[in-house]
Amino acid sequence: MAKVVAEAEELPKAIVKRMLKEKLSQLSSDGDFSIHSEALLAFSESARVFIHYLSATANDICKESKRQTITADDVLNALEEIEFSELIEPLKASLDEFRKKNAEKKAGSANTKQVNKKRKAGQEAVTENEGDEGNKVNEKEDNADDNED
Amino acid sequence: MENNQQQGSQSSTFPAQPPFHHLVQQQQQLQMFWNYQRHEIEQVNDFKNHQLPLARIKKIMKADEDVRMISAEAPILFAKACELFILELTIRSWLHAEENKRRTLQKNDIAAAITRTEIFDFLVDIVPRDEIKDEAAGLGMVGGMVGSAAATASGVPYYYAPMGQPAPPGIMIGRPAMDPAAAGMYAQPPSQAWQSVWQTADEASFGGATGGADDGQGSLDGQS
Repeated sequence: MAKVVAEAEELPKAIVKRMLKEKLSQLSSDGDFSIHSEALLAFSESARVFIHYLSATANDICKESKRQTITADDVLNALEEIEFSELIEPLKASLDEFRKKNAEKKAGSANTKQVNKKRKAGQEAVTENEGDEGNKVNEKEDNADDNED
Repeated sequence: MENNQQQGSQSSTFPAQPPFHHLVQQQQQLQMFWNYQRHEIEQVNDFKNHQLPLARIKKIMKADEDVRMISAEAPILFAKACELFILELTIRSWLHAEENKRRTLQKNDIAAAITRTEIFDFLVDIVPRDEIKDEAAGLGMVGGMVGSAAATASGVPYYYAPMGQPAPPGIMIGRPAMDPAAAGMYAQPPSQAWQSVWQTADEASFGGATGGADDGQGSLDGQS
């Protein structure tokens, strides 16, 4: 199937709609509201353009510092630059949470890796008895894995 | 104790209030919004349920060829920033809908929010205002977006004040892409922004409309 890629990627409509509904139900005094379909599109488009605007600014900041990779700090500085400083504090809080969770995950996964290796070794021992050649290859790979540590 | 009666009175006496109160109102609501957001973030931060998909955000970012490498944390920030941006746009758009006694959020509410908010200037060409008839009618100054002559990058306006319309109370005007400071500000005399708008209008040869508007704008004589 020939694929023509010319359209810009869009944010998922359902998610944008959900965000709008949640907010509007707070804002409207009696919970009565509706969203015109064109309005929904306008929100998605605006958000998409916002992403472009913010990433272009962050990219410029990144390049000014002679770096190649856009970092979280670049993004935060970009927000300042485009006068969306109000977002900086909430975003920093989000970032801290994310980093914390990431650190926890890493500590946790180190343990799971050990458990998985043992399990794998156990499985290999069982299937090898069937005399399948393929298993020999697997065994080699398993040994190779052990060297990764 | 603060009297929050403003909230209730806003919808009934709105047209009579000077625009400043409306702004203060908006400001307060926005402040409340941001306090709420900060509070919310401190309470709950479940990263399994990112609202906006990170992969999609990354794709959008990369649509810009200049953007090369993105750290793993960046899309997370973008997802959150995007969400907060959408929420802020929602609040401002809803305010406009309420002003017009509507419960349905329409595209022109978003366009109005964009016009009124300086930091949303980058969106002015994305959501063009082409349905402002209800605003121009009775609301006078606030929301009186008469003639959104927002110029495109090439300097040609794509919307124009209807002919025969008296010179606007002089506030809400779209502005050429070069002059972001002038627009989006209430109670600002049109002066320069108008001049450049009418100039580009001339280039686009909207001769008739120019004539109509000159009635109220003596200073524009000789612009053509």
